[in-house]
Amino acid sequence: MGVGVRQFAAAGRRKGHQENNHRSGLKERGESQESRMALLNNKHPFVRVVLIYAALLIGLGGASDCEAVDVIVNPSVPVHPISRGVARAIFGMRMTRWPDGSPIRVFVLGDGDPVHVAFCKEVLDIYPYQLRAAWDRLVYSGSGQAPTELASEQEMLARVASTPGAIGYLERRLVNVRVRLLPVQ
Amino acid sequence: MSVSACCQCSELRRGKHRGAGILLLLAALPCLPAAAMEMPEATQIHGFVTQGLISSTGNNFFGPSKNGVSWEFTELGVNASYRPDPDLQFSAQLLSRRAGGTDNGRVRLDYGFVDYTFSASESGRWGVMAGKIKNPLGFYNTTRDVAFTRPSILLPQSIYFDRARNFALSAPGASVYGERVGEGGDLYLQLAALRPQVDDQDTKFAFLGVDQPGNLDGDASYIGRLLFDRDGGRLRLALSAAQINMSYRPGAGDALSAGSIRFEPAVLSAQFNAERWSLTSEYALERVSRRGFGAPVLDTTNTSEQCYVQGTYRFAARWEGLLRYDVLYLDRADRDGARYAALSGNPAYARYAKDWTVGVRYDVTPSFMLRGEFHSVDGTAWLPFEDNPDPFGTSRRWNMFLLQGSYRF
Repeated sequence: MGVGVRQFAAAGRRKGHQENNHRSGLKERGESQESRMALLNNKHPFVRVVLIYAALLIGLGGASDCEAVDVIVNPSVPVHPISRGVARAIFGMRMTRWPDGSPIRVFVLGDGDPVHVAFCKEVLDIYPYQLRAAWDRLVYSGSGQAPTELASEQEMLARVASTPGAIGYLERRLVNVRVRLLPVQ
Repeated sequence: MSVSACCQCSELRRGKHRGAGILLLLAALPCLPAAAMEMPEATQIHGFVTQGLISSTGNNFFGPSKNGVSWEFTELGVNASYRPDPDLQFSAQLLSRRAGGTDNGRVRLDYGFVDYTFSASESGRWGVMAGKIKNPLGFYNTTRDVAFTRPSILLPQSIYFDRARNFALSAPGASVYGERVGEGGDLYLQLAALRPQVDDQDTKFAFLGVDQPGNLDGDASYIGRLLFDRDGGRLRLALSAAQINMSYRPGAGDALSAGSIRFEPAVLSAQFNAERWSLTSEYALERVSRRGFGAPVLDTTNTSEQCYVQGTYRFAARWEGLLRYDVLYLDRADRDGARYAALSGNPAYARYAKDWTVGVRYDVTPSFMLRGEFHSVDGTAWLPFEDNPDPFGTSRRWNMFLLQGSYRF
């Protein structure tokens, strides 16, 4: 139940500093969450408890203890907003070239890393186990390659900043001028 | 993959040798650390090691498991992929599989092909593959020997028959594929023309019965799969179908003529993925037609029917539970096997199998997992012949307990 409460709290916190790119990552579920929150604030405590349990049961709950997460790219990558579908294709290792033809280099954090979990849920709107399953299907059938997994956000910043064509993600507070934000709409 | 050792390894190896071929890497493999590896950007090496323990009542499965413990279920694989250009990839996987009397651990090429994307944009891509490619049948066939990609120790045996599988596994051929990324979901289409590998005993047993002196040859065959992913895979739907053709080359003094066999499976697959749970079901009809053998018993057409419904629940971090019901009827016009028993004198229960499975998975680390699984089975339709040579020495109702450890990189 704690998970569910944190989830709603996090959704509320995010409302304060939503930018176009991040907002879009939450779009569908975010809006439905807001309407659910309104419901939660207005009703009887019993209804709240029931609703939170229901949210947990149908798998809406998600513990994200980190700040908002943004997609970042190497400064060599021309920044045009991409759709969530394209972001899924890139991080799913199914899209291998930027529109200008240069190779895409994908960097991720470990499956259990809170920033990775938040990225999957908020930006891609999928669960980490689904991304792992998609990579495994590619890697063990020979039809694709796995992304490069890094140990920390510091390493993420350094590698995306230094690798042409690189894409990754970072908590917003860590983003600096060595990389660019790539809006996902 | 990617333990932290892997990253250090890639740092060390990040050199000017990007052009070094796949062969060189395979040759160098024994010298590399056993941990996960990431080569210079264009090359990756991955693999897996899986060992199972099987104990059963009533019948043997993968070795002498009946009233004992069989260790004869081992899967080893290593693959390399080399991508000199974003549109071009060379991939190969070597596989060794030991599975009781059905597989002896011989190292074979599981797949080896070149993949070329000839058209790509933000809305999708088109490409071709040529070489020995994996057959895209249902959700699991292309990676069926990799424990980490399976939902359980044994795949549902109705559709992913392990007692005769080579003809369905991978084959030399060529394939064209298309992917479309759209607002409403993603579509994947793969079509392939291939020549199936059917020269093994298992395949001959499965289609012609035991003790035929001749050999089977693969003929031109076709397979296709259309897969739809909605909401990044929350809902996945697939339709796969194939027409696998083979012909019989009679041996010396053979009573059979040079007949032909056509095997036509069609699989409908559906999966729903929520955060904590996934629900998966696949339904298949498989038609086998035999002609020209000059034997009325063989020259028939028969359709088998198979289906499973499977739920997995991620009840805690690193833990997953499984519940599945899996059913196979070898002849959907004779589900209880009565007609078969009357004609052949063999047990009727050899024509069906109904399997309840419960299992649990624990991920010790992201690259090492343990599994336990219990099967309660009614019928022997997918019981391996080689492990149970006497059809009257089998039991209709039997249980199986399996443990498995798997490491991947």
